[in-house]
Amino acid sequence: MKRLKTLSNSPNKQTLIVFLLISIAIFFIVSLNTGVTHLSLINGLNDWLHSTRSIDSLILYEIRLPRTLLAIIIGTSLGMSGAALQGMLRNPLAEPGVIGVSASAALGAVIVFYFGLSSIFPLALPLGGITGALLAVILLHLLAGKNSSILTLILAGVAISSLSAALTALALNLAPNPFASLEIFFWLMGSLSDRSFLHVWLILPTTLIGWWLMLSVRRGLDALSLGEDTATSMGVNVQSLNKRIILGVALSVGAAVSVSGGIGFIGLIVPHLLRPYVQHKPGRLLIVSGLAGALLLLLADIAVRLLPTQQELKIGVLTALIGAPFFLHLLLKSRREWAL
Amino acid sequence: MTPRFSLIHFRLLTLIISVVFFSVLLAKPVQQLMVGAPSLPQRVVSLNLCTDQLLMDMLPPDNLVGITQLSLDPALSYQYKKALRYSSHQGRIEEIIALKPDLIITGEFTTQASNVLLEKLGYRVIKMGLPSTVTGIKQQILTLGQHVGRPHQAAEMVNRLNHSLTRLKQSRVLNKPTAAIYYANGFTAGKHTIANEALTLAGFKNIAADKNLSFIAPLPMETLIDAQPEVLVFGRYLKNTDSMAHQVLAHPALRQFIQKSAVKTLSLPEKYWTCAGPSISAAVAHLQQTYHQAQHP
Repeated sequence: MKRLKTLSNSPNKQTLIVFLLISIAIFFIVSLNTGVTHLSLINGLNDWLHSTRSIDSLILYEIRLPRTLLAIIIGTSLGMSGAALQGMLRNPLAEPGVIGVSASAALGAVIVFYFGLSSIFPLALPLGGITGALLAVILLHLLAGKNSSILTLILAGVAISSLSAALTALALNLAPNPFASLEIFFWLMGSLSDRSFLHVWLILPTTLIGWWLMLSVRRGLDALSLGEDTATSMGVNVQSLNKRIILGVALSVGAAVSVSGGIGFIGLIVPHLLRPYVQHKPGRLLIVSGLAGALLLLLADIAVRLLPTQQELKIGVLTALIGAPFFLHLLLKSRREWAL
Repeated sequence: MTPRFSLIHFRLLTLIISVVFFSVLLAKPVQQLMVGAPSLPQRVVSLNLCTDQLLMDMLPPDNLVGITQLSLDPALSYQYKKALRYSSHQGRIEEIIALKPDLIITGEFTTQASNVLLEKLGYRVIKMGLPSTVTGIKQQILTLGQHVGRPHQAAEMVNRLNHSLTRLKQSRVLNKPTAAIYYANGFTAGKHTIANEALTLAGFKNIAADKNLSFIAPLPMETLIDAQPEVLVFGRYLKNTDSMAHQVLAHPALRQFIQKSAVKTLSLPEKYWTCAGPSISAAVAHLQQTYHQAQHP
């Protein structure tokens, strides 16, 4: 509790954080228990703790645990990045998927992965994703950075998204493996199935740095919501704040996309649902959005495993089915509010 | 534009339309007359990798005037060396017409748009299914032999297949070990597949067929590990280049399971079972040999 107090200063937010953490813990267990085969969770964990290698512990530890951890890590990155981007651009529709950061991260990862670079040097995979994401965020900042309208941002995002998706398709068609061209679906829609601990270790370092960069400007973001001039007069270095958020988003989302494909709308839904609980302060939104993003992606990943489809549904299909109507609702609402 | 001009245009257009219309009307019966004759086909074109393989055993390059380019791919085509002697096409409809075929052999489920169009243009098109048993393969060879007028060659092919399968029966794998086929993307071959037939003929027990899976179906890794097969047969493409599809085959869970339960891993290149044909005996032989090698390294 002491640590929680340093993170937040309102009792309302503390309850929210505790609630989210407990939910994540519960669904963490549920996720380990969800799969096509029925196995005893307790036996499996017991075998694993005593390092007896049984079939149950193998399935638990090598198949279900990595995907559960990835859902939590990637969900956190997406939720937090959504909140950070919305704060930085002061634009309620900013989100890694909508503004094309996920798509260009996928392009970077695809180029590295299908042309053999990542099999020589595994860390090249997240680095490819990060480079793609970084280029997109910088481009967006140049195109729609300073107090531009929602429309400019969305249109710039549409352009970057379509360009990246087209180039991804091109790269996949040129790749030497005959299965590559069929895998565009994975990169556009995202999935966590059959991922392993290798992927967890690959993305963890850069993701943690990304989170730290975004969280380090929490107070600055609160000041920025009053306008750039006011923030500057309050002693906030807006330039450095922007740089930290751009780099933070690129590091966490770029790494995430390079192992899971582009999963959309998490970063859009989560900050909007939580904003009323943190008195509309963008800085305070970061942590709760991260936690709620983790919870949402964890739920979605459990859902795709439970749905009775012949092949497992791509997780991005589910988040888009929930997120797209939500996005339209927001668009209509903001049109009314700002007379766009 | 003056009204006079448009009138001239209108008349010209009517003329062109009627010329085209009548020429089509006149040409159609003539064409049907030409291909309707039940004479021996002289220029056969194949539109399907699997019919390529069978036809190359029956017809010389003079009579089989076009095979698919897929037949030249060493990874997919069982007889890719023989295919070098034949001229190949990319399956474009204009290419096919330029080859002036008098008989077109194609797959029942492949190049359907081309099949329909070629039939409409009056060509004789014969579609071949994909058999999943040895009996079906033999039947198909004999039928194809009839269509191209080479029944003796076809009968000989069937004889050869019978011989080699009888020989392979003697080197059958003992004690019926349980086996699972694992393809790219985590797919397996269940009942009604030629891969299942090859596995059974070699002496294995296919766990996918036991689990009542049919055709090429996804087999989740959890299910695969839970079923604990004694043998894993990886279907691989020629080069192990990177793709998500092939990454599944190298998953740590699978590797540890192989290590822990001392699972024997065999690999069967795709060219052996992309098609159902005489290559099934080679598939069976390959499975038996690699299994024996894995047992006595």
